[in-house]
Amino acid sequence: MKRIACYIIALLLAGMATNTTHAQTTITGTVENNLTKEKVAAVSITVKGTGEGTFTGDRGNFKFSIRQALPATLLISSVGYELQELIVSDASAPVVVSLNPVNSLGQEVVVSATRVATRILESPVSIERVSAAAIRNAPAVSYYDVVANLKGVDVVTSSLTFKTPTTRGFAGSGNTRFTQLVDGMDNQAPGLNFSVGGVVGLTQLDVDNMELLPGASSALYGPGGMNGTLLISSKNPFKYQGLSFELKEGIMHTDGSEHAPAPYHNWSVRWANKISEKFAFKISTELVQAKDWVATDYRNYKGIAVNGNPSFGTRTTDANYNGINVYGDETHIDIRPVLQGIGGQAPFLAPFISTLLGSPINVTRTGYKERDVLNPNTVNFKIAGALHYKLNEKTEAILEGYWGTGNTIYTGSDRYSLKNLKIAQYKIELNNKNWMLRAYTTQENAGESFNASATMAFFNEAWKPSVSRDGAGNPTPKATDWLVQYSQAYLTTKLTGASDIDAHNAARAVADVGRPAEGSAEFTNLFNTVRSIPIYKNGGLFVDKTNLYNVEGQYNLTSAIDNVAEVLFGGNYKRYVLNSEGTLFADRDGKIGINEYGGYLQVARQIVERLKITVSGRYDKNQNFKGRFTPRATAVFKVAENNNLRFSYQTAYRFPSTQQQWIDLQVGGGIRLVGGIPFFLDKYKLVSTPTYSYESLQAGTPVLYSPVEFKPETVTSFEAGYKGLVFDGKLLIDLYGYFGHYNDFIYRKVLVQSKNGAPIQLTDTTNGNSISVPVNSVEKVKTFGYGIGLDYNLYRNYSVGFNLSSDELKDEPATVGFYSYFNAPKVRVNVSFANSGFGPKKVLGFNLVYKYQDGFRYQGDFATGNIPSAQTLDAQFSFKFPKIKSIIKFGANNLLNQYYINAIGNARVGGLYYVSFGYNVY
Amino acid sequence: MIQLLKKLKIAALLALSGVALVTSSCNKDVEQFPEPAVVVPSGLSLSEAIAANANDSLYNRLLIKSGLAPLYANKAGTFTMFVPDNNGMKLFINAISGGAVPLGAPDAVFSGFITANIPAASAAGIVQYNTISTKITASQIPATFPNFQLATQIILPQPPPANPLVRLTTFPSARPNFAYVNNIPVTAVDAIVANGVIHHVATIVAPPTTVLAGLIYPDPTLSYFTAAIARGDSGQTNLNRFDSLLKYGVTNMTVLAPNNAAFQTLIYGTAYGYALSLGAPPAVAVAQANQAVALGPAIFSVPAFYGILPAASVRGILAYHFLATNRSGSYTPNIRVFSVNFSPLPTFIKTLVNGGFAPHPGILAQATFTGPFVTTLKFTGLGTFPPGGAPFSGAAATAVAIDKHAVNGVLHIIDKVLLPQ
Repeated sequence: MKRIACYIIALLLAGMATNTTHAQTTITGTVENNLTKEKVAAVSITVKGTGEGTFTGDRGNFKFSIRQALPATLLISSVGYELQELIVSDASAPVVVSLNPVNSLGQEVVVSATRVATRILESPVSIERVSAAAIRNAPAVSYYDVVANLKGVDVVTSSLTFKTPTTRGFAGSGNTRFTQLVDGMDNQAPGLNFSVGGVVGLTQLDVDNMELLPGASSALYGPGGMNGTLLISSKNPFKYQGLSFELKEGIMHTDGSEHAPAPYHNWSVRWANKISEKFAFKISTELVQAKDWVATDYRNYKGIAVNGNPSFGTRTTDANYNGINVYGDETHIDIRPVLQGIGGQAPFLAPFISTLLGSPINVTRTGYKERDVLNPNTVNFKIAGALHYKLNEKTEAILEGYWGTGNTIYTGSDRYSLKNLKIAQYKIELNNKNWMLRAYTTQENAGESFNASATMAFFNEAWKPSVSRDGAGNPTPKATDWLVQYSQAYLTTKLTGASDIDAHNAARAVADVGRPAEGSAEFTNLFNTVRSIPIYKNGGLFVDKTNLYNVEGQYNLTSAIDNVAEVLFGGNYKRYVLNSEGTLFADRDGKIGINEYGGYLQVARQIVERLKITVSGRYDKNQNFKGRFTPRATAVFKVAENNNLRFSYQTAYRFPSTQQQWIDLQVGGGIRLVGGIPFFLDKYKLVSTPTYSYESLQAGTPVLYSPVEFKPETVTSFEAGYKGLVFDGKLLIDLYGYFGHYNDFIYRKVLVQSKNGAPIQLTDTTNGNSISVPVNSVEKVKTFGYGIGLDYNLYRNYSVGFNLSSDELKDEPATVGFYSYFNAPKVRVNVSFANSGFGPKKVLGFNLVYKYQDGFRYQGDFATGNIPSAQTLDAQFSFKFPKIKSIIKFGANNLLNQYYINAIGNARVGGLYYVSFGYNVY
Repeated sequence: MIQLLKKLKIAALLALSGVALVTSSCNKDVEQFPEPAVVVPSGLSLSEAIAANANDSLYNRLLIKSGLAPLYANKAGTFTMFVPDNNGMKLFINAISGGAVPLGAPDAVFSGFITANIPAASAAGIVQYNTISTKITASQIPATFPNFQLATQIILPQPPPANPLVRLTTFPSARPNFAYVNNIPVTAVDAIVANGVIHHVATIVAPPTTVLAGLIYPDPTLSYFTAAIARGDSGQTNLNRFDSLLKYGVTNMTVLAPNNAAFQTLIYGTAYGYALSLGAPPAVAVAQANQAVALGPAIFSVPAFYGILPAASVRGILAYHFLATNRSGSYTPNIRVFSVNFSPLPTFIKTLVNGGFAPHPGILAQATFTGPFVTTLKFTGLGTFPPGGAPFSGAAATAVAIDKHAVNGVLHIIDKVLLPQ
């Protein structure tokens, strides 16, 4: 890393040294909207035929120096306005430019589809783009919510500030098949394996655009991105200047059903300044504070992890109750051995007891509801800054950093309170017209984050042990143990002839005497103690300080080969350093490093006038897995001007995530999650000790676990689409259909290992150690889907949009114990109706978005179940004050406050109503 | 074109109206899973079934008197109840009335007696002792020796404070031709009711009211046995003392208590033999033996006779009268063998002597049955009196009183002292 940094600094210095001095002419001026006479910021002004240029500032003014003698031709351009050429012959007077607004449908330029700038209409693969203007006018409280309005996007909402988008199925909070890149940096927390875009990263005011690539994208962006890639770009301080701020105040929980009505605060500030034509900087910060949605799914969960279902039963009707959002009740124990022990001590009871022992008498410890365990106080503070220096006309150096901290709630294999989580990303980058060099690091610190189930299970044990154990872990029951008290009271009540459940309830009442009451000082003290103890020491804390280091570069050879073809190549080197002190990974003995590297080549050529072919390929290698090659081929056929057909064959793959390689974590339900590398076969003696698949035990036909090589997962996708403008350019149509199949699909399999080395009894799934290991499916997983998008610009700036998409899993493998976690509705629909400027001086605006999605089956490591269909209506109404460059917005996410969920175990999401005041928001 | 756009705008507004209409319907909550309907067992409850059976009318009267009828009407519970029919109840009432209520009296007289003369607490005790809090059908009662110990609904008041797990127990057993509860024959089995099962028994299975010590010590026919216990316990502590065992409520013993005559025979012979062994002429030996017998039970506390009756010997002899089984490697007095539980064939049963000498064959027991009842119960010891006979060749001890039931065991009084060697 140090060597790379030296090279970068040398390049910077070299660039500075090559600057030379020329006679210069300074041109000044302003740009305004010809219709509203508003000053227009961030307008590109370049000198035709040169690379010289600038952007208008926040007041629409510009000033820059050119080296050529006057007259000079200026090109003035901005998305949403007609390109204008202006000849400047006299620099003594300011230039005034009036831009005419035009229909911008289909005029946007995207980069992510091919890594080179391409008109969105000519993109060879499906792509969606969200501009800063779209974010500004969106009926969404956060730019992350805007992604949910795009075609084919599913979002999993773990909490208010923790939302995970994905495309083409396999939605989940920690979705490792969907890559999110912020300014080129992968924002997946390297140890926790979830993208932290909503928590850390760009602030609301600093988002320039978002590009969404649904479908496989490994060939360009490396391992991951099997289902899609979201690229978020920040605003360049050369282009977007000045002070901006937005104060957003809202209210949540208005019906008080799950929490008393509570305010929502979101304050953000951005300041960017162009010090000179060469140097600019920006700094931005955002603070969000609210009372989060509260997860209140108290249904009884029957089963283990993904292999389960919500079921009937409550704490008072099922002694083995395990509420989904109740924690501590995952500890379940068969009380028969204790009853037998009582029979041994009191032989006169033994015959009676023997009549009770026909089948397991499983009971769970009494748990605590999530509202008593996870503090809903959500705080998210982000700060970011960047220094931009133009080494020359073609090369810009960027030093950038993002830092974020806060409290939020995440659903993975459990519900996690991410408390005082801190994640930072730092980047140094050189951008040239033809090449790019970037080095960045992601620094993760889980802070005081803890696992809800583990914390409360150990909380219960700390208050009153289920069964005392000696130093070797052997049970040494004492009269004060919870289970002993429970069993005695159960037996006592049974001896009165009471029904089973009455006996259980009476037993629980006895065993729970003195149980710390929710919110009491005793509860708080014990809870704070246990959650602060690392998991491996019988607490709930995970101490993750995993870091990622990445260096990558790209070179575009196109101009060097006289534009015979568009050729670019690149490569990267990535190193993870796992550091959880044994609380998440098997790294109690020290940090674990994982190295990856890869390279790619892309060649594109206009074969004939209407046909452009692009071929690319990428090779990647991870030290724990064999290398993989992923090819991609695309074709764009121009049917007519602004009407293109696209075809693509894409492959993608992903190395198992860091957790799928090295996790070693005890979670709720008594399951230990372990990684899939051979290390764990030895550590847990998965071969030398009889170990069976859970499903085979359930079926009564135990099958010994036989490990095979754990491999990366690959997907091959075929896609065809059409994007075009019709009706005089007022209707944008986007259609696509795809088919994909996955090889070596990674899923988790639960094994049950004999505790004493003896073969486990048939149908015995409770006495063994439950271990979840990631494995590859031997069968292919197939998916297909389609999408339709229609955007129509009505007159007077009104617009309507409609999109419908569908993703389906086909021929799901019948392998017992296989779970795809497909988690996608068959149909989802978004309908929008908007106007970004109407009324007097076009200062009024509104946007309505209606969303509907089918119900679907959600499979998760935390819980599995059916998600009902849901619909929401988001809305905003805005009023601009052009003279003070301000805007007031009244908005609502989920206007009708119709609660919905999109994953089992997550909180229900209700309405969020807000009013915001924004200054200089462009 | 303008027309088209206007139409589109109208369409958009209509669509928006449609959206508003659609969104006015609520999102469904996650599916809820109602509790399965509680299946109330069909048929009559225990209380109802007893009330409905005319031949159980007297027991129904007892049940009502006990105040427990509502409890056993609860179909959510599970019970097994041993119920005497009217004939059985008449036998019981005839007995407890001391014959004041003759067996041939009209039912109303018996019913009236129950109402007037059996206190509610006593009625409750009887009913609870005859009720098990689980469903035990006839096929679940094992034929293994000696019986099946089941906790009743009576909490044992000792040791204080009362532990609700410590209960009086009852002892169903099955034999090839008959079944019993304690020593009471079962006359009809498996009347299944909604909340359990009823087995009819020949008469009330009466709950014990005292511990074995309470039966033995006041019994004037067992005064030698009582004195022998004191002698045998000398130097012992806690539950190593027979006295402690006999007073300890939660033990479960079978004691074969030789009566006074049996001890007198033993003492006479022992003193006579002892005198002869010291060289005394037979006439002197007879005199000394008579003198020993004349001392009565006090002989066990007269130091002069300690040589004849060493504490260890007394202790060994007493141990031979406590039936035992091997539990976890040691012999403990943990079986309650009613007369009907003994085999009609000569059968060896271990005793506490096996605690000191495991290979000991035990005693030889044999019951003679007439119908379901035992008419003769005999026990033979390994040793013979006078000494010198072959093992188990001596005269058998015959039970002169059987099935004297205590909280912590059963007592059979026998007419000979059994010798372990």
